[in-house]
Amino acid sequence: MRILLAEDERTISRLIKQVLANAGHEVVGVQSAAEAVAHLESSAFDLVLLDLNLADGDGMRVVTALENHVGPTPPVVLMTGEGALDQDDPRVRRVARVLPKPFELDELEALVQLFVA
Amino acid sequence: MEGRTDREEAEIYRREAMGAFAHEVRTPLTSIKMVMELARRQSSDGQLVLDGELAEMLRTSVDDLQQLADELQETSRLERGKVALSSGPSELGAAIEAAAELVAPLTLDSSGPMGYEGPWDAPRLVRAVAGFAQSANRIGDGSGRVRLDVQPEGQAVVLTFTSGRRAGEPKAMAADAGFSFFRSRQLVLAMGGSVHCERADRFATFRVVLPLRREGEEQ
Repeated sequence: MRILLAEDERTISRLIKQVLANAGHEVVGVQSAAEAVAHLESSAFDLVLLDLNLADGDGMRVVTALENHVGPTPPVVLMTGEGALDQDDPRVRRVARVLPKPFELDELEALVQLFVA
Repeated sequence: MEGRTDREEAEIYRREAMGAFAHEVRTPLTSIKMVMELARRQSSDGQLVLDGELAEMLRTSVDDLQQLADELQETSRLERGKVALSSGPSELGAAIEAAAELVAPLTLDSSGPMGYEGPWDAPRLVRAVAGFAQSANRIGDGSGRVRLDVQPEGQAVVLTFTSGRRAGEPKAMAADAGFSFFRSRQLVLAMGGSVHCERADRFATFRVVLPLRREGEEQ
């Protein structure tokens, strides 16, 4: 599976990439919402792992960009330490799954496995 | 927060700060948990093994955790008047420049006269400006670009941080502003200044007033 990982915390990003690469996935890592949007516009992905608080702003910008995307859009898994998300926000409803931080590697792997076709 | 006493307002800010801290501490905790699990997996007999790379990741995450704990402690000590701040003089323009470098890749677009000197603790002023910029972006439009306007006002200089476009009626509140907002606010209060926050949907503005003279000092 080809996965876009948007996470600005370098250690978390490296660890997730390592774990998912070991599981046979191709992972493209970016650190900002702008980079994530650019990658989604120019390339196809099967899944997006998205941190809510990216260095250049709200990760939800990426969800907004996907809403305006022409063609098939990959499911989004939101990684967040926020206790509760605003369920009235239509962008939150666009998110396929939420992975609360801190999470276990097993949880991450099981979640990604759900999206393997 | 109109109509509330200073004490009530301080209590609201304290509660928000604790919530924000609890959120931000989860990032290094996530790294630590993942490193420990990877190390365990690398071991064939179930013992914990830390190779050089994992050990470095663990060290970085523990350092981040330590920094958050230090910031929480300093914020608490500032609130209780237990921290002696330097009274400068320090240069506002230099502080804003240093803060802009600190928050990159977030862009801080500053305008207005910068040639002010004041009785401010220089390194803490840099951290305060950086914290306000990050928080404005966080609760504003999240575009990665924050405007900072500097203007004189009597015996003070006013720094206005803005993210997004004003739409509708903003509310005076700082919920979800992040721990850096509360730490920055506490630093400014300790320097004799004040902070007012307004936010609406994808819009945030912080009005930060810094005194140009120490209390009791004549012009």
